[in-house]
Amino acid sequence: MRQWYVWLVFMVISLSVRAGAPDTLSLNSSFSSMRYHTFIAASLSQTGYSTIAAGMAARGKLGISAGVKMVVNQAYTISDAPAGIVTGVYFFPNGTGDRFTAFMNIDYQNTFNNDGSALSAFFRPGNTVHEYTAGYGFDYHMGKRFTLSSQVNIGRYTQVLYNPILDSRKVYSGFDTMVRLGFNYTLVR
Amino acid sequence: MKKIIYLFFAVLVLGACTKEKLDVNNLREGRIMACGHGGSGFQSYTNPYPSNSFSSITRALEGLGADAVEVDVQMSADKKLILFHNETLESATACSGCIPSLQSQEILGCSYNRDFGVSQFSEEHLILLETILQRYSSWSPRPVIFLDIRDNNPCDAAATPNEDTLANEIAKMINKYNGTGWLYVIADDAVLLNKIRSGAPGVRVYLDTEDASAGIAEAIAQKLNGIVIVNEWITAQQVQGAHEKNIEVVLFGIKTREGTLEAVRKSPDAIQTDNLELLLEVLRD
Repeated sequence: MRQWYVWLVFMVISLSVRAGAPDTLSLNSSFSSMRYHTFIAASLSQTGYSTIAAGMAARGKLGISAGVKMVVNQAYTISDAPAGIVTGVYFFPNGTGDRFTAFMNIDYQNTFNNDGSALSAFFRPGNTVHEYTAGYGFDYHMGKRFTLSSQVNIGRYTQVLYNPILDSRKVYSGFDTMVRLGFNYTLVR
Repeated sequence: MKKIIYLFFAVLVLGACTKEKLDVNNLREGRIMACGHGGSGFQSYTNPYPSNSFSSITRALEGLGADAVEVDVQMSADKKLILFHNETLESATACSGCIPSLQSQEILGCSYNRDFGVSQFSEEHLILLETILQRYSSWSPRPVIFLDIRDNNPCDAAATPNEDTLANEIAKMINKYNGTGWLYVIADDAVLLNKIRSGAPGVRVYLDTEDASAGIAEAIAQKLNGIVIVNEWITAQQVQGAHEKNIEVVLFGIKTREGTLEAVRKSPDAIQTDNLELLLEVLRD
């Protein structure tokens, strides 16, 4: 249970920090309009090491993201790698105007692994991992368009394993933790 | 920015074309047995199931569809065969002491304490070997279970089980479950293996060795079925030499993509892996 206390402490810190520099970047000059970002990230969670490519749309203090992920440490070749989708809802309690900004997010990811083709997994039964996590993170704005992002999440994973020989499904679930480091590029702001 | 995007997609396309044709030439008609080390692989952040636990073993055989699992067997003071790898209980469970010096009832209540959250709503306890044999003896075909006999636990030298007693208990268990075709025995002591084989005629026995050449020579001399060795400690030529003498080779100590491919290229007869998903993916083709 100690992980929950640590998480809470960091959550309080992330909410209270308007870290470092004053609002010299004027990043929130168009705070009420839509902002669009793309990002690539490396992630470590129960499914293993993943690479993520996604996009985000944000307005005011809220943002939503969607993208794809590929699990690297189970990949024989890239075309056979377990793959899935990544979605998230972001809340920026202090806006996005400072050089450092904090955020909270709710994240859902899944990973499909099937008979040699990630795409076929959507159409045939196979192994699937669902990850539901919530967490916090920090963005470091390096300029008007580039941002380094980090986040830590905790939650739960559910792994559904399909055995074609037994024609049976086994479900395993447990505590999930996720860390993610990413690089954002702002398309429209 | 465009260059970076083009480079990213170029890497994706090129990476997709790097599948290697792996020709396997072994004593099992070119088929490598995919075996989970300690169940579905030894415990790690991405494989949080305690090794030798019930969930780890069933996940490998029933969930991931492995051909085999390797489990570690120790004998308690009251002669019960228990699945556990480490020397001391405190290294992985909420209990303390050594299996050979404790009664089975004390041991079976012990829960794993490094389950990385697997036991969010339940606890994993140590289990008897018989629990697994009961579950899979009715399967057809039965999965192969490698019994890695840990007979020399230095935790409590005074409680080290008598070799004859240990061999007798293992042989009794193999005979009880008609296990000569699906229970394979591993030990680092050829004398113990021969005692088990004399109690359970026909059972396949494998020598756990750190020296490939010496191990192969001893396996030939003792008429054992094979050797078990760390992947890095044997060459493809030595594997081929063992096969020429009708000695099977089982490799372990494998987790990464490079290690898995290197092991498969050696054409072993079985691979005990800590990344079962990856091995199954590599062997799929």
